Amino acid sequence: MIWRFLNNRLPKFQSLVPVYAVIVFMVYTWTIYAFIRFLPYWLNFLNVSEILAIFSYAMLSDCLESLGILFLLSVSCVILPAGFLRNTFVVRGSVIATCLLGAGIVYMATIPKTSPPPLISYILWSLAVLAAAIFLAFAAAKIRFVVSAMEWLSNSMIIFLYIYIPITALSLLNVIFRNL
Amino acid sequence: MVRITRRDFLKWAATFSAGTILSGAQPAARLLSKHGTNKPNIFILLFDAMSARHLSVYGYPRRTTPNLERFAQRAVVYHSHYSNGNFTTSGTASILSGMVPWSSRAINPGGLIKRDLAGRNIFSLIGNEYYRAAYSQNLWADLLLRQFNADIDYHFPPSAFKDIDTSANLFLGKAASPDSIMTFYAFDQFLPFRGIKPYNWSGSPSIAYIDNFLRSAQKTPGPKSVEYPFGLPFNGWYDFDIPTVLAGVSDLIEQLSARNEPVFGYFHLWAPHEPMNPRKEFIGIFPEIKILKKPQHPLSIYTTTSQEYIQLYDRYDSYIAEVDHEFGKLLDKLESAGALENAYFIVTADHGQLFERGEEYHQTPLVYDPIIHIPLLISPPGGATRRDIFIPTSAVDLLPTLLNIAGRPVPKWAEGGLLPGFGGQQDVSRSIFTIEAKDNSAFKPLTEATISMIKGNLKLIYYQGYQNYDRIFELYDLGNDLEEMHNLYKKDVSTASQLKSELLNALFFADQPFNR
Repeated sequence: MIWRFLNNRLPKFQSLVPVYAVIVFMVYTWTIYAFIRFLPYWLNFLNVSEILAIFSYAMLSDCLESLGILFLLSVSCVILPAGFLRNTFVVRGSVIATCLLGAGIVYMATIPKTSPPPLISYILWSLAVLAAAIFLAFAAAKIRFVVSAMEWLSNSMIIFLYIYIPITALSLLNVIFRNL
Repeated sequence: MVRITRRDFLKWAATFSAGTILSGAQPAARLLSKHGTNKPNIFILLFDAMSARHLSVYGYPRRTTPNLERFAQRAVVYHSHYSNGNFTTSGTASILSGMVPWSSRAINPGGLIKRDLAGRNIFSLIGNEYYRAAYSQNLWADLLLRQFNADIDYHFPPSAFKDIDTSANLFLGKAASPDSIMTFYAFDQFLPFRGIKPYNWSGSPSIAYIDNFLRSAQKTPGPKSVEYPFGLPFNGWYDFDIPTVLAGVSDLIEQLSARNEPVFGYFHLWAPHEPMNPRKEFIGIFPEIKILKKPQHPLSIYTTTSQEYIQLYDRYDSYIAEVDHEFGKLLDKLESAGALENAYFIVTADHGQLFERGEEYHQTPLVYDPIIHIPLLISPPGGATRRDIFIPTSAVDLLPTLLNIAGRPVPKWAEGGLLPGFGGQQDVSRSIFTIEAKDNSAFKPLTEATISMIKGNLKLIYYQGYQNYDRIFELYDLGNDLEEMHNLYKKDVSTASQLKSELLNALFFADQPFNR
C-alpha cells in the first residue's frame, strides 16, 4: 500500500534522470572548477596520487550531495500536490535545483569567509532564494518556450552522467584502496 | 563526528589507567617512580605565534607575562632562540623533525614533511618506552602530527577541549583515521567554507551553505559576546575560549603524568595567534607604548599607519596577557599535583608576529626579528633556580636535546645541536638558518625564498627570486641594532662577503637533492 502510494506520488524514473543530470552537472562541474583553481596550491607540496585522493573524496562527496538534493526534490513531490511539482518534474525540478545550487555558488563567491553574516540575514537570504526558486519554477512551467528549452537542456545534461558516474566509481575504488 | 571534551578525556583516562587515577592524589614523584625506569616525563607546551619580543620575561616593557616570569624562576631561559621558519608549518616541522625547512621541505602553508623523511620525528626517535601523546589546535600543525600517527600512541583530535563551538567540521575529529591527511584536505579544507585556504570559496556549494549556516548560528550573540568584545578566539575552523583549552590541557598533562610509564606530550595551542581576541578584562590594561617607525619594505603589502600598529600591539599584548594568565593557572595546578617534579616542562612557540614595515602578522616573506625570535624556557625536573642563556639557539636544537634527556641516541642527520644547559656548548660560531619559501614548490630547488642566517650577533638576510627584488642582501648587528634599522651589508663588506659565501654555500647543498 505504501509502495503504491509512493509510486503514485514520486516522479517517474524518466523524469528523475534528467533532473538528476542537471544536479550532477552543477555540483560536479563546480567542484572540478574549484579543484582546478586549488591545483597550483596543492601541486606545491602534494604528489599526483595524493591530489587524486583529494579529488576522489570530493567526487564521492558530490555523489552524496547530488543524491541528497534529488532525494529532497522527490520528497517534495510526495508532500506537495502532484500538479505542483510531480507532473512537471523535469522543468520545475531542474529550475529549483539550478536556482538553489546557483544561489549557493553566488553566496559563496560574495560573502567574506572570515566573519559570517548574522543568522537573521542568512535566514532571510535563504527564504528569498527559496521564494525566487519556487516563483521561477512555477513561471517556467507556464511558458511553452521555457518548458521545451528546459526539457531539452536537462535531457542534454544526461551526457554528463556518462562522464561523472564512471569518475565516481573510479573514485570509490581509489578511496577503498587507500583505506584498506 | 568525534569530538573530545574535557569530560570525554577524563572518561578516556579512567578507561586507560583506572589504577593510576585512583592514586592520582598522591605526589607525582611517588607515582612516577612506578615507571621502573629513570626516564623523566617530557611535556612541550607550544603557543602559536608568540613572539619573544612581546614577552616581559624577555624584557618587554609591558608586563605581559608575569606567570612566565614565575615559571622562569625554575627554568633555563633562552634569550636568543630562533624559529627556523616564519609560520606554522615550517616552524613546527623544525621542532618535531629536527630538520631545517630546506631539508624537511615543510615550506608551504598547510604543507607536509617530505614523505621519505617523515620517519625522522621526535615521536619515533624517542621510542616506544615513552607513551607519546600529541594535540594540536592548529590544523596545519596537526597535519604534521598526522604524518607521525604511526609513532604517536594517542593523537588527540584538534576539536578536543572546545566547549563552545558545537558544529565542528565533519572530519575534524578524525585525526587518526587511516587516510586522515587527504581527508583533511578534502573535507576540512576544500569542501567546506571555513578553514584557512588559498581561495575564498568552497568546493561544494551545498556543504559551504550548510557549514556557513552553522557558523552563523553559533555566532548569534550570547553571554560570551559580552566577555569577548572582539569576538571569540577562532582558529580558522572553530571558536574556542582560552580558559577551556588551557584547563583541558592541564587536566591532560596531570592525567598523563600519573601513567605507569614515562610520557612524552606535545601540546600545540592556537593562542596568541590571530585573530587576537582577548577577554574584556585584559583589554586596555597596559600603559601607552611608543613604537619605532620603520620604513616600508618593498615586499610588504600593507600600508599600516603607526597608530594602527599601536592598536595591533595593544590587541596582541592583551591577548598574550590572557594566555599568560591561563598558563599561570595551569602552572599552579601542575605544581600542586607535583607533576613538574619528574618532568621536563618546555614552553616555546613555532614563530612570532611582525607588526612593522608594512606587514601584519606572519603571512609575509620577511624574516625580521619579531617574527622568528621565539620564547624557549625549559624547566628540568624539580627545577628551583633560573639560568639565562644568551647565545643564539634554534628550534631544531630541541629534538637532539630531548633525545639526550630521554637517553636516546641523536641521529647524525639532526641539524641542531644540544642546547646549552642540557649538555650543549655555548658555540658562537654556529649558524642558525630560517627559511621562508611559502610559494616555492617543495619538490624543486628554492628559487623564491627569504633566508636568514644568524651567527653570533650578526644576521644576514637573503631575498631570492621575488619580482623586482632578487638577490638582495641585508646585514644587521643584532647586538647593537636589535630593531634591524641599519643595514651594514655595504658598510662592512668583508664580513658581509664571508657570511654571504657561507649562506649561499649552505643553500647550494640544501638544494642539491632537488636539482635534476
